[in-house]
Amino acid sequence: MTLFRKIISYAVVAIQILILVLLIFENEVQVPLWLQSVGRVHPLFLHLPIGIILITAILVFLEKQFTNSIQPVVEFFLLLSAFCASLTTFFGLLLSFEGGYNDDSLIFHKWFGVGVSFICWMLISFTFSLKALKPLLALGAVLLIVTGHFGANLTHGENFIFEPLSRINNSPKTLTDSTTLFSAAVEPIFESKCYSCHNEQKAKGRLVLTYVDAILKGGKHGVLWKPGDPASSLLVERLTLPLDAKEHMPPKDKPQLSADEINFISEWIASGADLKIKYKNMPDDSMRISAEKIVRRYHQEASQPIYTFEFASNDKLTDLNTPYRTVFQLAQNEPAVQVDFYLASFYKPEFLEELQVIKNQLVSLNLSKMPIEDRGLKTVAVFHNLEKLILNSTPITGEGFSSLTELKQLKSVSLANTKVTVDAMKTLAKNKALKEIFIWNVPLSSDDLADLRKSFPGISWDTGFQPDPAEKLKLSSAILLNDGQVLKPGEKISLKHNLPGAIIRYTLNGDKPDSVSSPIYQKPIDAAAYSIVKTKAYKDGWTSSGVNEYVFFVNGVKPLKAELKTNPDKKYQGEGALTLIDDKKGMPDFYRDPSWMAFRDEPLEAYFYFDVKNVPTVSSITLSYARNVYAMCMPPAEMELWGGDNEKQLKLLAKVKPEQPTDYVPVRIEGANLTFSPGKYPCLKLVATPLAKLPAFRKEKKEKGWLMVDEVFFN
Amino acid sequence: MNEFFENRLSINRRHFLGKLSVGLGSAALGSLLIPGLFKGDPEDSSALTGVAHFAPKAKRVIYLFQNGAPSQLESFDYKPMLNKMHGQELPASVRMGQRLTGMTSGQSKFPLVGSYFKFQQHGQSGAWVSEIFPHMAKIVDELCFIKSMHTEAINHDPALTFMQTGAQQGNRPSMGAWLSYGLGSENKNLPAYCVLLSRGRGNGQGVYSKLWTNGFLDSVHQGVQFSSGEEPVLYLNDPAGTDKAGRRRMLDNLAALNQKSFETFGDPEILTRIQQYEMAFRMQTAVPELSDISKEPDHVIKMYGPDCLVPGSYAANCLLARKLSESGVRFVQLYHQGWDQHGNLTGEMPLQAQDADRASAALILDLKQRGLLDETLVIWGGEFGRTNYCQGDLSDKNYGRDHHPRAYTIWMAGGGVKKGITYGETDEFGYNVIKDPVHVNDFHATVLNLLGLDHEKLTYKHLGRRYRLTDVSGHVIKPIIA
Repeated sequence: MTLFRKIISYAVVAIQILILVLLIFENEVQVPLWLQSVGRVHPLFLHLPIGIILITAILVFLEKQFTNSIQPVVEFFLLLSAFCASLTTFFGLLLSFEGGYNDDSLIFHKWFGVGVSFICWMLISFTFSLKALKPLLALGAVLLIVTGHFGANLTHGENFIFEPLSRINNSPKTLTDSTTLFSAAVEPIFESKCYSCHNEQKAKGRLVLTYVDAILKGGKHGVLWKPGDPASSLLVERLTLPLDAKEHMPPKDKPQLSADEINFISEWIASGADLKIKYKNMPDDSMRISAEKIVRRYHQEASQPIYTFEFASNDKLTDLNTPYRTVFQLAQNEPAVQVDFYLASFYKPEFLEELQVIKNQLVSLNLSKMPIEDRGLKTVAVFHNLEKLILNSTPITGEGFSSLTELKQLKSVSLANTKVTVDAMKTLAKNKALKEIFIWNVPLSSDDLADLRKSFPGISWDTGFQPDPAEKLKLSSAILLNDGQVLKPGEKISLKHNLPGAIIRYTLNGDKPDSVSSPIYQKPIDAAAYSIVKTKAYKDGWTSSGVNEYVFFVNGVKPLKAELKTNPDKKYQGEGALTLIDDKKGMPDFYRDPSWMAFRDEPLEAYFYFDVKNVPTVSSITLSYARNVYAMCMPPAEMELWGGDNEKQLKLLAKVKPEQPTDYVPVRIEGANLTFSPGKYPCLKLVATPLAKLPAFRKEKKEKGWLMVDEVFFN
Repeated sequence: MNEFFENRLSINRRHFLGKLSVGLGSAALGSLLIPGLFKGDPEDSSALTGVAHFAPKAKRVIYLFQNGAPSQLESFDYKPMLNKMHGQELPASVRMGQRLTGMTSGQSKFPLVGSYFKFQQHGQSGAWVSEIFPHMAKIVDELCFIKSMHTEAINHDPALTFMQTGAQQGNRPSMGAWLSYGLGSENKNLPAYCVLLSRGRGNGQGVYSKLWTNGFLDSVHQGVQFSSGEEPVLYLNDPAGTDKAGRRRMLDNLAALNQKSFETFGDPEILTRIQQYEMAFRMQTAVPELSDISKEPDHVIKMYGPDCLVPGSYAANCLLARKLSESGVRFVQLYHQGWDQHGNLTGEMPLQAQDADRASAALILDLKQRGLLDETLVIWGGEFGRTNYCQGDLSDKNYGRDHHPRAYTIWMAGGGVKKGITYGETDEFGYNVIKDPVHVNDFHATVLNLLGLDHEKLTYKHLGRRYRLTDVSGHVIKPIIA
């Protein structure tokens, strides 16, 4: 024997003695904590003896496959088997001292395990021929499998492997109207979580849960519940004890009830634990919601398909789908098909005819806006399962309706926005299946309608919204078509109103438009360098709209350079002088944006320089500022413009005191405009003074106003 | 792993093995022994998306989102007790430790405040509606009020994101994207999910594109924002100087190049791109038809109110929503801003109501008269409720209300929802739900159910786990389903 074999053999003997000691003094032994960890290696280690013993058995039984003698290999493997099996058994015994396992399975597992390791030990202690080994190994393998089975029961619970199969056989439980809440929601919980220990064969704690009488009888600790009082019901108590408590049910190592399940059982007991109430008749309360959760989990929803005709093949449906015609199966379990048509300008009559391949399945057809004529309805007539037909906004008159009377399933026809006649409606109404017809906005008189309603009371004739002729509504405002308030030179101001027949009157002089003297808008308006347009819309039968005001700047010429002689407020510095000529407009009320620059303590004093070789003629300058009374952003108190060849030779060109608001007015960007005699000025100086005192209506009237500017326009 | 590489793997090894095990396994054993044993999860089959799980009650959704959270106490949840106890302190037994926003946490008093506006019962159903919603009052028998909505968020952005995507943090797909993913597009010439924005006249709160994001879903499911100007879809028209035929040739060649690049890289986003170009081409025909209001008869204008002639107004958006929905857009999402009345409630709320009332009611009537209401689900409501106590100064004429997540009211109408009913109830202080609470997840589950989708089966696997709109929660509120 080699040294290695010697060591292993002696080790096996030693471990076997340890096992014997543990078995004999089972009740006296206290396992120290560190050894508990060793014990817990058992579930990991046990795979080794299983593998090695089985492979040894396979080797022995298949010895004919080998040309050389396998005796030495087998002996070596046996040695390993004995070592691993003994060690595993030892670990397992240590683990068993921790307790908490199902007694029955544990006893079997322990003794069979000991048996396996003992047999392995015997196999290396005596020399056997291969032939003699066969039955011994076979016995060992069988013992091993049995041991493994009980061990698996301990960790995974009983019936671990076959449980899914039993579920398949039992499950799809469908609910009928007569299913009680008890059998719909309570029984399934007992069945999946309790039956394995509380059945007629096993009946732990003398409790049987498999049939109602036994459940009501309870077990050795008494009845399970007190109707109406979950708090003092044994069942709820056992379910809600801490998991580690000995009395907790189901035992720690078994599948536990979910929180929803425990919650439902308490609610059910609280509500009186009624065994007779039908699930479908339960009131809509919180218990129903809890019950639904349980039912959903254990039952298959009995989703009965509505339609019984055959399915159209997927290929067929795919082929029929085009951008102009959508063909949809209603649902995965419904053969019915819905078809919608889109893009009238691409419509061809063939598109409808091609649907004949699904004439059995077609239940809903939408031809809204399609140029389908009455002839086309003949094709529709072959769709004998059709239930809903939408023909809104089509050119049909109803001459072809006679072909629709044969459709025995047709319940709803929509004809809004069509030119159907009363005779056509009478023809259509002969179809006894019809339940509703939509005829809003069709040329039928109220007498016609009354007649139809009287003659065909089984049909709901929906004529839709009828406006109240006495109600006068306020017209909406005209819409401005220009993009923003800065116009290009020569660009005109364009307006429109979306209501046909509405007229727009406007003013450019600041007056409110009126219905007599203000011009009517007919073509785009020429813009001045700075314009304020006020508009008002009018139409007979409507109250005139409110007045709308629009401010426009014209972005004429731009100087080459700008310079500031004064400092803007530290918080709103913009991008310095460049801000005034950078073509960037701010938002009316967001001043942190660098397109804005503010002056408060000092006036704005800026110089603008044009290209001296090519000085443009300028006759107007507009300073764009924010008018936001709420934020104390006011028009400038005063504005002066100086012009000349250079900074030293400037003369005053114009001066203005813009009008100040006298009340809170809407926030907007507007301008202070100066016009002067046209001329070529290489250098211009603009001085704008902020308001020294806010107007009287403001609470903070002593404070200075802000001058918030974003751009200067030259024209 | 990078999803891009994951995708490449998915078309080789994983795909192959997946098919092999499912295919062979079920053929050999599954069908013979135990039907369904090896079938696997139906949700794994991507081929099944695009068709409803069961027969839908509604085909399309129009969600009239009232952004900023309109007060339930001045609209539909009538609480005379608050008028009776006007000015008295909110009892602690009612508040039960509900957290406050930073805006009222500094307040030393929480005086109850009753509605300034009068309430009256309307219709056969006897629903209470306040005087500032006269047009909605006329159609209460078409509506299903849910007075027991509650949410988890207390501030606008998370609450709004929660209502739209089922999560308070951003970047999950929003409701419209899930529907587009689950049901596909009815009209291949328009996006399945369109978004329309309007500003109100009250204190406003922002909306952001993350609210209509596709999240981790394919980008075809993203909401397309229609702009409020004269041209609803920006950059849709051909540039000056191009003709239709030239455009077509360009798109064909571009598609060929993109196809090549797809064959090289296998990124499905490239295919999406090809489809998007094609759809944009067809949208050039489809969109002008929609935005043309001049063809609407005069009395449609009267129905929605003259504001519908002004592009970008709530009324114009309602009218456009009807047209989009009529043209098969699965999910039309409106946001109307300005409902955040922390102060000056009596001044601002009537203006907001004026904007929203007539047009919202008109949309219901307009769908109805075209025979489309039974297949279109219309939803009206905000992201949370408002407190029953006053924020800021309480005077006889004016007051404000802070955010209140514990109870609020929304209404639904049309496709598959019971008409003229009220579901759920709040206590007499309008503070806590006392009957049939509806969580945001429940609301989502119910909407999906109405559209024929099981919220537990509509999933998408992303970063190693399956996501749902309702994530791990949500119950269908069956009692409101017709």
